[in-house]
Amino acid sequence: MCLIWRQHRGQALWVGLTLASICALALGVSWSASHWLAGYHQWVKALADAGCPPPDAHSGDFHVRSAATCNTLRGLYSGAQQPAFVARYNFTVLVFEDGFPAALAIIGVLVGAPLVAREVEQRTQLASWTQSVSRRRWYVMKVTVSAASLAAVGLVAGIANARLQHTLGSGGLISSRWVWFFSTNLALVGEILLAFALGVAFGAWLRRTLAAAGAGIASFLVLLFATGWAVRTLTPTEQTIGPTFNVPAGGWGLSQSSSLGSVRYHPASQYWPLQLVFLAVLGIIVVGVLATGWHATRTRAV
Amino acid sequence: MTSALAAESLGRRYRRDVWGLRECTIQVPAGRVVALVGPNGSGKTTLLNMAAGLLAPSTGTVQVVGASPQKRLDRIGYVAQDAPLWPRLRVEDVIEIGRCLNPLFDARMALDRIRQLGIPTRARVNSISGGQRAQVALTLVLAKHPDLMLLDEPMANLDPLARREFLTSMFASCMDTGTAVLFSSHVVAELERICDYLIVLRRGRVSLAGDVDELRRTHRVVTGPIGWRSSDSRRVINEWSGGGRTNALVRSGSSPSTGPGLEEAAPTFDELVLGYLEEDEPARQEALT
Repeated sequence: MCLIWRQHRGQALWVGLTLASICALALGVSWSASHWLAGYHQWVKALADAGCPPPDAHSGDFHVRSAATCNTLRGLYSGAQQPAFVARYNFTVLVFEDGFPAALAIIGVLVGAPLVAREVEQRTQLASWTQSVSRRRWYVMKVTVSAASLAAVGLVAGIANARLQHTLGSGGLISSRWVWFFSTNLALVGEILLAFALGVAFGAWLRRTLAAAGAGIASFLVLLFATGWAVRTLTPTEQTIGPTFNVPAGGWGLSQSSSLGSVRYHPASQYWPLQLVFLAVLGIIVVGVLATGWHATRTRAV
Repeated sequence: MTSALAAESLGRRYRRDVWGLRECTIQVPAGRVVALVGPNGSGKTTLLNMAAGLLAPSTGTVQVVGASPQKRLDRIGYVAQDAPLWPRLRVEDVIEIGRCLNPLFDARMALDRIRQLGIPTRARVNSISGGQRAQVALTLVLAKHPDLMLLDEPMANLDPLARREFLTSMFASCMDTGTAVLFSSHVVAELERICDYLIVLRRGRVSLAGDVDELRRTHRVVTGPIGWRSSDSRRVINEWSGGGRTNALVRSGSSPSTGPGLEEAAPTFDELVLGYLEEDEPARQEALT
C-alpha cells in the first residue's frame, strides 16, 4: 500500500479534484434548476392569485383584477414551463448526459494507462519487482486499490448525475430516467472501471502510456456501444398490445412493430435490474481485460 | 554449502532462433564478488534478469540460495543499469517503500547511510545526481541484507569519482555482511580491484568461469618470436603481437612448461578477460568451479 500511495498520491489528488469539480457542477446546476422551478411555480401561483391568465392559456375568460400587475408578472418568466425550462437547461444534455461518461472514461484511462506502462517507460518496474513482493501481488494490489478508488469515484459521480437528472425530469427536459441510463448511478461505475482496465491492459501490452491511452479510449467507445446495445436489446422486454404506440409511463421504448401495432419496451420496474446487469456485464469484461494485462505484465514487461 | 547462485543449462530465447543466453551453467559461491564480463549483447543482462526473477528461463534452471529466484526475492538485491528509481518520489519515500516491501529491511541503516553520503532525504529522485541516485539504489538493496547482490552496470553513467565512491562503499558493505555479488561492468580495471571470481560471456554462452587465482594458475601468457605458434598440446585462447614479439594466452595444466625461446608468465586479470573476449571461436564452457 505504501508504494501505491506514494507513487499515486498526485494522481489521487487530481482525480479527487476533478470529481469534486464535476460533481459540484452537476449539483450546482441541479440546485439552479430546482430554484428556477420553485420560482416558476410561485410565479404561476402569483398569476392565479392576481386573476391573470396562466402562462399556457391561449384564450378564455379571466377575472383580471389588475392588468398592470399581470403585465409585471408576465415579464418575469416567458410562456409555459416546459419550453422555458428546456430553453434554459438544454445545454445540460450535452454536458452531463454525454460529458459525464466521457469525463469519467478519460479519468479511468489516464489512471490505468500509466499503471504498468509508465513503470516500463521509466524502468522503475525493475526496482518494484525486485523487492520482496511478488510481481503478481504488486499487480493485484495496484489494480485493486486503483479500481476500488475509481469505482467510488464512479458511484459518487453517478449519484450526483442522477440527482441532476431527477431535477431536469421535474422540469420536463427529460421524459424518463431511462434517457440517461448510461450516464447515471451504477452505469458510471462500470464505465470508469472499463476505461481503467483497458488503459492498464493496453499499457502492459504496448508499454507506452500515450499509445495506451489512445487505444484505451477507442476500444472503450466500441465496447460501451456494444455492451449498451446488448443490455438494451438482448434482455427480456415487454410489449404493448393494441392500436397505440405509446410506451407506458416510465418505460424505455425499444422498437415499434407496425404490423402488430405494438412497441417493445423495458418497464420502469426494470431500471435497477438492468443497471445491475449492465454493471455485471462490464465487470466481467473488466476482469477479462485485466487478466490479459496481467499476462502481458508477466511475459512482456522486462 | 549452498551456492548463492546456481544455473544449470540456463537459456533464454527471445524470438525464434534468437537466444539471449544458452546453455549457461555456473555456480557462484556464497560471499564471493564475481565479475561478469562480456561484450554488448553477450547475455549479461539476460543472466542477471533471470537470476533476479525478472525473466523466466526458456531452458534449464536457476536457483538463488537453493530455491527459485521468485521464492528468494527477499534474499536478492538488484540494481539495474542506470539505477532506475521512481523519479518523483523523495529519497525518504524510496527508503520508506523499501521498508514496506521488505520484511528484513533495515530502515535505520539505510537512512544513516544516506545521511553519511550527504544525500538530502527530502530531495526528489529526479533532482539528485546520477551518482547519488545510484547510491540510493544501492542503499535500498544493501538494507535488505541480501545473500546475493546483482549489479548490472549501475555505474555506467557515473564520473570516475562517483564510480570509486560507489565501488568502495559497495565493497565495504558486502565484506561486512558476506553477501555474494555478481557485478556486470565493462570497466575491467575496476573489476580487477574488487572481484575474486570471473565469468566471461560471449554470444550468449559462458566462455570462462572460475576463481580468479585458479584461472591465473591454469593459464599462461607465452611470449616468443614473431610468428611463434604453440606446438604443444596446450590450447591457445588468443594471440596478439607487439614490440616484435608474439604473445599468446594459453590454457595449461597447473605447472608451467616453457619451451625453447619462450617466456611464460601468469596472465593478469586484464589479459585473461581480453583473451577470452577476443577468442576466435569460443569454446562451449571453459571452466566450472
